Amino acid sequence: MNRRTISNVSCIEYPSNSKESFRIDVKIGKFIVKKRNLTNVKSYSLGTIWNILNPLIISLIYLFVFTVIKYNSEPGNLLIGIAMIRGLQQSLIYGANSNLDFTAGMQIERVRSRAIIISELLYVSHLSFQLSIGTVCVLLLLGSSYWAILAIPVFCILNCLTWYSIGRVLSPIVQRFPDFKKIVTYFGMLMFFGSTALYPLSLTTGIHRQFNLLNPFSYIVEPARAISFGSDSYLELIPIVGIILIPLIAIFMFYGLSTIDKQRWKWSTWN
Amino acid sequence: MELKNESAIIVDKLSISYFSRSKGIFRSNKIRGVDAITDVSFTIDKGEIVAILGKNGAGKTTLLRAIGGFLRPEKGTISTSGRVFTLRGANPGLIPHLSSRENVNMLSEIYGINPKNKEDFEKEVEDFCELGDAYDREYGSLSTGMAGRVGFGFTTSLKPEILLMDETLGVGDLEFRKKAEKKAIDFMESGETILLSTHSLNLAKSMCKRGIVLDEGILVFDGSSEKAVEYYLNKVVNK
Repeated sequence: MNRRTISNVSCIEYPSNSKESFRIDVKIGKFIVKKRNLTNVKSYSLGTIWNILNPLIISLIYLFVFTVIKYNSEPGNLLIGIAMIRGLQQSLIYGANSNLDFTAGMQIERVRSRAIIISELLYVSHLSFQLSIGTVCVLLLLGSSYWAILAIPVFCILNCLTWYSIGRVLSPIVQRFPDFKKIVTYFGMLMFFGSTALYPLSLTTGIHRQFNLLNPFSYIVEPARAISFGSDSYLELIPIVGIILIPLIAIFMFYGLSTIDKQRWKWSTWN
Repeated sequence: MELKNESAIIVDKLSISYFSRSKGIFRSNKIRGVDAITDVSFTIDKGEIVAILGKNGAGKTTLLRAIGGFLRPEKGTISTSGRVFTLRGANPGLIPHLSSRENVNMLSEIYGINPKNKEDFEKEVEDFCELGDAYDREYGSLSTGMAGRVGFGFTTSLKPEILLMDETLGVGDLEFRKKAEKKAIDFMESGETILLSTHSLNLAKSMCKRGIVLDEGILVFDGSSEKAVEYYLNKVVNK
């Protein structure tokens, strides 16, 4: 028998941790992701293929701009940076966006926050995987190592989850001050040019270099480049910073995801 | 408040307010908007069928949504015993780009239908909908009435222990409404708990033994459905 107690603080269900309820929450999470993916491409003949084609084509346009118009001798490394930075921008903004339809229109029964957390993690992983598929194909054409087939999707998912977590931590601020969403977007644009997306860490100097030595993005994109094309810029990263960033990001992720329940409850009566 | 074995829903000193944000720099403090429900308390036993009456804006939908777990109370608590389903509007979350059959197949798993009973469940929904070939068309291409059949048929076939109904019997054409009413009566006779928000006073009298009247978010009457209708007409509508 399901019991539920609703108060100002929370909506608690008993029993809350049965295997069966977890299995159903995973199914709900998958359903929400499927609905979102289908909704994104609903009116196109190619349907879900666009989920892979769209990020690939946009990345190729950027690649064209930065290699043909402004000559760059390492298009492969550039493409990795572009794919990663696009993942950063999308997942950061997605994480910070407070107007998400958390339950994808499921109105019959309250969707448990655990199901929403599962759907969020699946959706971000799914987005980043789609982003990486096209990138890997082009990288192989550009002569990357076969290890890129494995490394790019893994680093892409890591990158997106990292910035999604940072976005989730910022989400309560965006919820309270909607204008802050603009600042998050501007930060994403700044990162496009200011991070190591368009050039390797070895080309940065001064404060710019210091910033990128502390930027989690560098610790994802440079190893990805090293595995795919043997780039040695990763040697300039500071190992201790990388080691500190791992638990820090994990804390961000845990905290960011744990606020979902509190946030949706708090804002359920706000217009 | 502790839930007794025979109680399905206990609402204790419940108050719900909606808030809106002020616009402008540095003016982000919450502003109290509307007090939708104020200090409402009642208990509903298992198997009871209760009508909620009230004018538009009286707080009926807010009360049902709060019991369904969709709204945070400002004060007070709600305790429920049993799975609570809310039948509100025509779409329980169906995906417009899939057929009704695919939707029902997928959602039945999500709503915890036992795999052994899944085939029977899907047949029950399909038989109720009576959509013919349209059942295999994209759900999004169905008319409002046809889509409503799928939503209503799906939700009532789930067999919830507590059903919150919000004016749902108004969906679709006359023939469908009769069918939906019959299905609702069958459901009610199965002995589960139902809370029905309605403007139809005949429906309230014929289907419910007990009635609750809300006026401007305050519970003003709680008693038999016939007396509740009488109170509603004399003291709320004609006040």
